[in-house]
Amino acid sequence: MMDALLNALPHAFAPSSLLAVLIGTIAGLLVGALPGLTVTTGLAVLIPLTFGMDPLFALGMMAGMYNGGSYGGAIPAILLRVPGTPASVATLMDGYEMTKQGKAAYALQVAVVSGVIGSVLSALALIGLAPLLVKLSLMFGPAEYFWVAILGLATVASLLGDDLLKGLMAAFIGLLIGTMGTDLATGTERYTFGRLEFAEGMDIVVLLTALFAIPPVIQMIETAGHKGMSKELLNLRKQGSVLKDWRRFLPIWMRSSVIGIIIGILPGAGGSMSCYLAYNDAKQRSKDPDSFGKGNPDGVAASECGNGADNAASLIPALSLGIPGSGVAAVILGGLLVHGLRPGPQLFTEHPDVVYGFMLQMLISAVLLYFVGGLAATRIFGQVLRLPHVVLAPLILMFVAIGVYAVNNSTFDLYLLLGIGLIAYVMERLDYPSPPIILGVILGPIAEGQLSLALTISGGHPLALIASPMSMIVVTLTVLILAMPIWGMWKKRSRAAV
Amino acid sequence: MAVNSSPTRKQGEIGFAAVLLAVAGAAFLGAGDYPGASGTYPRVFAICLGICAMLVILRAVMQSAPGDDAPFFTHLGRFLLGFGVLGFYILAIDTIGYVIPSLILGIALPLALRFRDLRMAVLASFATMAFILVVFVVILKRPLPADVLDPLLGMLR
Amino acid sequence: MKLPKLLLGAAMAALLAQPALAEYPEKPIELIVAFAPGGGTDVAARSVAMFMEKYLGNGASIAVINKPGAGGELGWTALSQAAPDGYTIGMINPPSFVALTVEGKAKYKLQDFQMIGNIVLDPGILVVGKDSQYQTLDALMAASKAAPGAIVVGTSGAAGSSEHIGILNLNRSAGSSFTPAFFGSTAPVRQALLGGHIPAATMNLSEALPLIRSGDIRLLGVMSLERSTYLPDAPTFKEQGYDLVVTASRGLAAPAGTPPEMVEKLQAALKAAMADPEYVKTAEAAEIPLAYLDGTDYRALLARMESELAETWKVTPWR
Repeated sequence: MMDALLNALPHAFAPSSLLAVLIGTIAGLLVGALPGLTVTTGLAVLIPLTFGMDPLFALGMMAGMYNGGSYGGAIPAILLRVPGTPASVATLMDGYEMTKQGKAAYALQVAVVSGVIGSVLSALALIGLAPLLVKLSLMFGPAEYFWVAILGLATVASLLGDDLLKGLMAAFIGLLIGTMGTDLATGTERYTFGRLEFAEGMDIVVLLTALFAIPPVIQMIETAGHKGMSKELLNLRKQGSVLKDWRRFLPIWMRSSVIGIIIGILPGAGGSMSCYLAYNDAKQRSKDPDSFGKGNPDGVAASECGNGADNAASLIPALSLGIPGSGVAAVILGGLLVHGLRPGPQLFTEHPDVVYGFMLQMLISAVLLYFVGGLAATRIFGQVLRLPHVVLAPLILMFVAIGVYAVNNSTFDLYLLLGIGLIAYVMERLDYPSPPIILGVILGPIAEGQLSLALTISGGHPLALIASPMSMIVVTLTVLILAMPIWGMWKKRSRAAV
Repeated sequence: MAVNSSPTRKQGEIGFAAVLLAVAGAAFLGAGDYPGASGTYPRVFAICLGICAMLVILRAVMQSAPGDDAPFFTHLGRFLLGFGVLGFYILAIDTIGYVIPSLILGIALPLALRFRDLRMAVLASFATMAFILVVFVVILKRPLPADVLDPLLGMLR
Repeated sequence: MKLPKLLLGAAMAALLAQPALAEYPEKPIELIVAFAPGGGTDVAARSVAMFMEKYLGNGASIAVINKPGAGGELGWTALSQAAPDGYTIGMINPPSFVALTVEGKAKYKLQDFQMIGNIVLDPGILVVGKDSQYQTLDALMAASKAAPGAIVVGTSGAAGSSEHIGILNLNRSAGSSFTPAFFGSTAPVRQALLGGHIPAATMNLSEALPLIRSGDIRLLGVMSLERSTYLPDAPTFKEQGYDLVVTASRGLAAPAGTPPEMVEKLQAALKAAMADPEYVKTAEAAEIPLAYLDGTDYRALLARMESELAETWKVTPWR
């Protein structure tokens, strides 16, 4: 492997390859930052254009787009409370609060540095540990996935907010919305109201945008502020350097990266789960868990680091087995195919230059992201906040409208946006938290589908669900995640009693 | 209805929980048509949601919380304006396309909220529109909603 | 304000620039893809569109419009209802495209479409893990007959997918008792098979080639009439005495009523694109099973699929 890596070095660091990675990273930032556009869309447009190009040039653009796009979603989430992807919801919770406190520049810095660290560690794992991690990923079958989904749902405990009852209701609403659409196992269409648009369930991007972007826009109109954020609040230097605070973030980065890498190698678990798990982990280990959701930079660091760590790791099963660990990895596989590179065990022996070159490009793009996303983009995007709120509100609506339309190219989704936006506004006024809804919508269907699969495979024996050691490990983790807040509360109470 | 006769927060709390209770009931009944586990699974959540909604109603009725009597809407007039504008905007996109309604929204809404810097509103709207058109239409070739300006937009592609 | 004036000027220019009697196509052709950007169907559509543009001439451009939803039904319904003016065409994915009409669920019929041609024919296959005790199709069939329902076959589709219908047909015609497990997409079913979580699985041939060659999974049978050129050693179901043909197709269609001269032009462009050396080379490198069929042959294929599915639906409805 070392030989192959060394051979690939000059190819990956050739000027044309570096240029490709740079272009890809900038393009990725852009599609990630615009609601409704995703890395998948960007790649789908890019791939046919790469016909006849040098494979490493094409792959460099893909690598850049993957890393750039995954961070790009954090920018509108932090600045405008418009999550571009389900993954940026966990970032938004503390990031937008920081913006409201005038720490937008610092929040973006935390996000980009954490994202870069996650992506770099993930790329290193891809280069060094791929064979080992592939074996780990194969240990997960339907029963294990069911427990992973339950583990993800258990993190709802850290998203519930101050009012437990309303947090739970939000989760149940999400789980109910998650049942919409065709049930894979029986072909039954549930709660589709006869609309084909609902046959595959509620579109997650439409839901996200309506839940998170509409209420603050309406609030901007209600308060009708004629001033934007002052220049002082947006100054980067005065808010301290994230790199100088590395001691504070280091433990979070390490744990979030491990979480992101493990979730990344599991196909079907999805990138957003790593953000929620990392966020939950950081909150539970924090000395001051109550400050999460109120502008704690640790929350942004955990979520973005987990998000970045998911990227390269999801390519591990993709490259070595042809099993993509995420939707984006699946599209990248398509891109490899166009260049005659068939993923699978033989890829590493047949095209070592290209494979290791591509892995190095993932690493390069992660580092480039720091310069492109951190310094340049933060300054440019930060200027948006200086617009007066009454001017900014319609501009956000313009982006939201075109973004929501672009998801399915359907105006039906726009009316859906209006309806859900109205409900979201009422929920926001009554302090119902929105993140548990998203968690329920994403993980509910995974839990149901995998449970049904596991029972089909075992012939209906429920005990098969906990038969494997891996199942038992995940179950134990779930119990721990649920027990820790209760343990914390009990300790607090007994201390108060003394 | 007078523009500022907003319901109180308490009324809003009970009203919304009642809506959720009704939704839970409808979801439970609707699930009756789905066979086997396909029906049981959503029913479980419908029951949980219903119970929680009842608890919220009970809590709101039995206990009084600070801020109960505060109006539900901070500014009912502007709230109605906000959602009215959003509704009209979406309707307009569906009928005459994206470009013109967006520009009108970007310029007229700040003016309606007594923002006097027309130059900034116009500049910001046109710049945003130009950016959106460049990214969505020119570079990515994404379709826009059917637009009266389609012959014009076709030249960008 | 200079910009509005500029826009106005451009509008005038656009209106004047349209010649009264131009050759088809005089504006961009929309190609509806019923799946999300980035999927296999989408990439296939975008690649073939690029080469068709070249052969349509006249500076033609084909814009891919993704209308995902309802397993393709949304996009196909939109295609059937589009104006038949030659400027809307779409990619269709039989047999699920046909299965929806057989169920009576879809708002469209086969007659609502004018076929342009077929691009890909990808046969279904039955595979087991490399450590599986089943060396041959016969062994697996025997085991399935001996223990009713005990052998689970993972499918990459949902209930009602072509693979599911294939398993039902096999159970009916050969007396086996496979229990289908629906994974919804290819990645998880492949992973479950490699990890030994399921004993056997069905998928499409092109999706499994590298893993078959590397020996990580064992191919028991190809569900096509003839052996695949990519795997000439792999036996078909028919050779082994089981009458089972399941083939996934990707092709192009236009709404019925599209003027014949335009359809002919599109058909000629597709045919030329699929003979383009660069396109063929790329497809071969990616091992995409290209199989060009002209509009007439493609319609015949779909009609055959429809009558076969209708028979299955009568005996064992899949929903």
